Order: sequence, then C-alpha cells, then structure tokens
Amino acid sequence: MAIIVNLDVVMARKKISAGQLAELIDITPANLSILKNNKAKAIRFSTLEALCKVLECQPGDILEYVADED
Amino acid sequence: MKWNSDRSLTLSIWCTRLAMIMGITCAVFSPRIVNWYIDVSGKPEWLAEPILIALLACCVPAMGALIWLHKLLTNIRIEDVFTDENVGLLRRISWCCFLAAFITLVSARFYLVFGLISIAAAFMGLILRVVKNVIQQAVIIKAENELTI
Repeated sequence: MAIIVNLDVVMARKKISAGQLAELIDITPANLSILKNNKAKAIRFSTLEALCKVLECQPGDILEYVADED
Repeated sequence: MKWNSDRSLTLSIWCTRLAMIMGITCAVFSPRIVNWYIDVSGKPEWLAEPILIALLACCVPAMGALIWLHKLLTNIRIEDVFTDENVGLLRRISWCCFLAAFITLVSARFYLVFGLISIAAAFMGLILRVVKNVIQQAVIIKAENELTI
C-alpha cells in the first residue's frame, strides 16, 4: 500500500485510547478501526481535520507515503 | 391507497410468481396449446412438433430467469441491492435470455415468427447485460464509499 496510516503511533504518543478518540472526533469505533488498520480507501478532510485537532498534529504525522516495491 | 416503492416491489414479486405459474401451466399444457394454435391458424400439421420442441426448450431458460428474478427481487426487498450476488443473478438472467434467443433463432428455420421472438429475447439479454455492468460499477462505488472515513 502506498499510503500508510500511522494513527496508532500518534495515538500512543498522545496516550489516547481508540474509544476516546472515536468519541472525540465523532466517528464510530468500527470506522476508526478501519482507519487504524489501513483498510480505509479514503479519508474525508473533515475527519482528518478532527484528528489533527484532537491529536494536536499535522496530517503528515498521520499519513505517510511509502513507494511500492514493484 | 398511496403508491410507494415497497408496494411496487411487492407487485413485481407477485407478477414474477404469476409468470412462473403461467410458465409451468404453459409447459404442462403445451401439446394442447400447440395443437389448438395449429388448428386456429391453419398451419400445416407437421409444424406442431418443431413448435412444441421450441416451446418446451424455451421453458427451461424462462423458468431459470424467473427463479433468479424472484431471488433478485427478494434481495432488493431486504435492501441488499448493490451486491456481487445480484450482479451474478443479473448475469445469469441475461444468459437465459441469450439461450432463449438462440433456441428461437434455430426454430426460426421452421417457423419464421420465432425469428422476431429471437431478436426480442437477444435485445432483452443485451439490456440486462448493460444493467448488470451498471450494478457492477455501483458495487465498487458502494465498497469505496463504505471505506471512506
């Protein structure tokens, strides 16, 4: 996968649980799990904005580009 | 009585069930129906056999199509619309139409009217294929939408 979601790293740094974060950014824990486990196909700007606001970080801290091997 | 999509769906399901009953009845009484048709239209007696064979052969894809159509409608009723299963059902129904078109095309050699039925069946199969392609794309869009957080 070319885009990696490093949400678990940022969450660990901020010492926040998945349940708490889901509640704070107003999405379901199931959707947060999809995002955390790199299963999401896209992320809305509004979700990214809420994540950055709550986790006090930049989009680049959450998303990372990794070149495909082939 | 106010008309809505749920009632429309119920009507479609009952129409499909009615078509199934008519198909079975037609298959059971096909020798009588064909003989009656030969008598009324004044066609030669030898034509009865090829018409009967074509009619019975067409009953197979017709019943298959009706059973899968019924399954498709019940899936829509439980709000399972854009799924791979429904794409498969539409594909099978369209192939049933093409099979009926082929049978009637071969039968047109004996009775020309079957040629027109063949064109109609092939056209219906083509329309269903296009609908299947649309639903297939909708399945992909739905999956993408569900995985957009």
